[in-house]
Order: sequence, then C-alpha cells, then structure tokens
Amino acid sequence: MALIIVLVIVVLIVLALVVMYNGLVSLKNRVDEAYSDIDTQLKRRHDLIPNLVNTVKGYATHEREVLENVTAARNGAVSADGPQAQAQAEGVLGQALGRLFAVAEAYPDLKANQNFLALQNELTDTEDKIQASRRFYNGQVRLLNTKVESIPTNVLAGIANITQREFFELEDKTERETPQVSF
Amino acid sequence: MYEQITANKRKSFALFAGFLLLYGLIAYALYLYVGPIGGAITMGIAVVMSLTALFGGDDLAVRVAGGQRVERKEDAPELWRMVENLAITAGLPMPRLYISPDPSANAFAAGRTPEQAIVCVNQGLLNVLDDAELEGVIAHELTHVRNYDVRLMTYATVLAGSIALIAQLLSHALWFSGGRRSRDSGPGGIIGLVAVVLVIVLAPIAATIIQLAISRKREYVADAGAVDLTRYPQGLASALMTISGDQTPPQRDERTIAHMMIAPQLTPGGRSSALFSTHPPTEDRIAKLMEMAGGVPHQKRTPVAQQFIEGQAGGQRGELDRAQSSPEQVPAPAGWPTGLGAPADAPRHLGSPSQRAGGSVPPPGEH
Repeated sequence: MALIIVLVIVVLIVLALVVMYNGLVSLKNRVDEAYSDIDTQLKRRHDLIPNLVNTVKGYATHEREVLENVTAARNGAVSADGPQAQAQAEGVLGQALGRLFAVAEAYPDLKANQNFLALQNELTDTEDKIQASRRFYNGQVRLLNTKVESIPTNVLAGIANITQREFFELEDKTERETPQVSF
Repeated sequence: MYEQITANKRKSFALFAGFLLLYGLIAYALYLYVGPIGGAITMGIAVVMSLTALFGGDDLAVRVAGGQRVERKEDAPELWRMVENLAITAGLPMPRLYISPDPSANAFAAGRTPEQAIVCVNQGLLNVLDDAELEGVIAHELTHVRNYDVRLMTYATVLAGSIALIAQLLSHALWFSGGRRSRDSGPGGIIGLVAVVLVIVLAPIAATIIQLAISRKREYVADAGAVDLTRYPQGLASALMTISGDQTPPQRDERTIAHMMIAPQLTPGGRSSALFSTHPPTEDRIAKLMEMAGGVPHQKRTPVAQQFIEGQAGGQRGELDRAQSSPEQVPAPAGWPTGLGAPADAPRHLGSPSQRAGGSVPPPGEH
C-alpha cells in the first residue's frame, strides 16, 4: 500500500516537472518568435528610409547633413545585433528621422509631394507596429525571466540551458525628449 | 491569464459534451414516446447544430449581425490599422474584420481559435466613439479572443439557440395536442405531456448555458486585458459610458448574439434585453476602469466615423492633439508585464495612448 502511494507521488512529481519544462520551452520559443516579429517591422522601416532620403533630396538640397545623418543612422540600425544594441540604434535612427521631418516643414513643395506623404504615413504605421510588437516581446520576456529566476523552474531552466533575455527598450533618455532642432 | 484560457477550453468541452448528452436524452425520450422518426429528427438537429457550432458559429454570428467583411486594408485603413496594431500587441494574428451597418453602438468577437477569430464592429459604434475609445473596445474584444472566451461564447450561442429552438417546436406541438386532447386522450396527450416536461426542463438549461458563458468575471478580465493592451483605461471607460448612454436601437434582432456584445444590447423595440440580467452592470465596469485610470477622465474628441471622412490627416491630428492634451506624460516602462495582475499598478505608469508603449520613436510629422 505504502509502495503504491510513493509510486503515485513520484509519478505526479514527474508529470509536474514535465509540464513545467514544456511550459518553459514554449515560452522561450514564443520569445524568439516575438523577437523575429519586431525584426520584420524593423526591416520594413529600414527599407523605407532610402526611398525617403531620395525623395527629400530632390527638394531639400541644402539639408545634406541631416540626410547623411539619417543614412548613417539607418546603416547603424541595419548592422546592429542583439536587443539592446538594436534598440539603441533604432533610438538614434528615430532622432535622425525626427530632425528630417522637422526640416521638411520648411519646404512646402516637399510637404505637398504625394510620395513623401505616403512614405511618412508608412513610417508612422511601421513605428506603431514596432511599438506593438516590442510590447508583446517585452511582456513575453518578462514572463520568461520570472520563470527562469523563480523556484522551481530555475532548476529546469538551468538544465535546459534557458537563460534570461534582454528587454527591447527604447528607453534611451535623450530619445524621450523632443529632438532639439536648430534652424 | 493562462488559467483562464485552460478553464475556457475545459468549459467549452464540457458544454459540448453536455449538449450531446442532452440531445441523446431528448432523442431517446422522443423515440420512446413518438417513435423512431422523432428520435431521428432530434439526432439530425443535434448533428447539424454541432457541426455549425464547430465550423460555422462565427459566420453565423456575423450573419445575425449583418456584418460586411473588410477584405483589404485599403477599404478601412484606420480601423484596419488599429485592429492590426492591437493584435500585434496581444500577440494574435490579424482577425477577420467586419463592419455591420447597424446604427446601434456595439461590437463583438467570435471564432473557435485565435487564428479563425472575427471582430465585428457596428457602424453605430464608429459614429459615436473617438479613436481612443474605439481602441479600448477593440482591445476588449481581442482579449476575449486571446482568452478563448470566444470559443465558449460561440458554442454557447449555437447550442443554447438550438435548445431554445427545440423547446419552441415542442411548445407549438403542445398547443396542437392540447386542442386534440379535449376530443380523445390518444397519443396526442402523451406528446403533450412529454412536451410540457421537456419545455419545463429545457428552458432553464438553455438559460444556464448562456449564464455559464457570460460570467461576470469574464467581462472584468477582458476589461483588464484591454487596459493591458492600450494602457489607457479612460478610453474603454468612456466608450462604455457612451455606449450605455446611446439609445439607438439596433435594426436587426441581435438577441441571439447579445451576450457576445461589448455592452448590454437593446432589443429592436428599445427594451433592454432580459438576457442581460446576468451581465455585470456597466456602471461597475466603468467604476473599476476609472479606478485604474486614477480618476483622470478621458477627453472626448471627434467620433471615428467623422475622422475617417476627414481623411488620414484628421486621424493624425487627433493623435497629436491627444499627446499634447494628456495631463500625464509619464510613459510606462517597457518591461511592463502583459500578465493580468498588471493593471493594479497601472495608474502610475499611464501616459497618453500615443506614448503608452514607453516612449519609443516619436512619430514623424509631429515635430
């Protein structure tokens, strides 16, 4: 009788461990998937920028420096690797773009250009989507990190070699403020 | 959140199994008292209804609401974009989007899985809500999708509806047999007796099923989930206030899908639906949301429908205005959890919706 009880308890414990382990793995996969979703949106943003730069070039010929900044920031963002570096590079790019659109205000012809307006809308939409996918990613990372840290899943995470992930934060302090524009 | 999902899947299964059992009993009873034909008809109805619930429940709900599919983004870009972005935030695939021309202010979601989910918005809703409010409503519906509430509700709608149908058929049979009974006490009397018993038994069962689907908790959880997605409780609170204050009666009889709706629905006659005696009182939901908002009210702006007419520029202006007029500019930290425990400390982190994602890249054109 006692043997049966012990057996039942052992089986239950094993089952619980399996469930926990599977939960951990699927959460890890969800984090990976969420990150690739951010990546898709970032790529879309990066693809829009050369077009934008070319359009602006035709009108705002004297703004070479601003345009070069955008191109440089874009290239930096494309080559950035890992959530933290990527987020930082995107922050820089956002600032550069902010300056570009501020400068564009001074060119009525440019502001009336259909292509420019379409690109601007596309970029706004993409940025909203980056925000959205970033928030989903961060939520999943939060869940995963909590599990990796807390008992008893931390032991399982150690066995499965699942580690804490970085948040994707555009929390750069300078980026929070409205970009300073000097005319 | 995950407990909620598991519980909903379990309830859906139990509902389905219970339904099949009930139909088996009815079929058996009819087989005994009426003969094989009665049993066969009942089983036929059971099979058709089960298949409908499994594969067509969402389409059925849309048809009841008279929804028209928004096929492409270009057909309703602002609404599409709003749903798309909220779906990304919730980690859901883009649901099929429908707009119903009905003038009453309401919306619902349906579907068996998040992959097959639909969201249907009445034109009346677009007429009275501004974009922050509409965002709250859609986030509420998407939370129902994510929590598998929609599966349970869709099943409940079809199955409870079918039971109501049978009860109605039987009560008609009762009328006729009642007339015959005065002349002779043949099989008509027995049918009548069975029918009486079944109607008495079935009606409360149908009601119970619907009550099971619309537990109060479900709505509160969806409200909390919506706040989690938009980080702007005022929006949904204000939307609920507007919806409950809007007395435009629906053109269609939407009572059969009433419990899937965001807020209590008036019948075409203008009376409030009796089904909704179990729905959490809207005032209470608003009070809870305002508590999360720290009492800061939403500043109402142009209803979405008007903005759409004004074109995309109007929508962008709205966004800009809101960012400027918002009293709190403290953005939420990016690591803000998506878990449902989160809204408790929401008020401290609330920024305006355009900033709620934690101060990301400022949208171009606003500077």
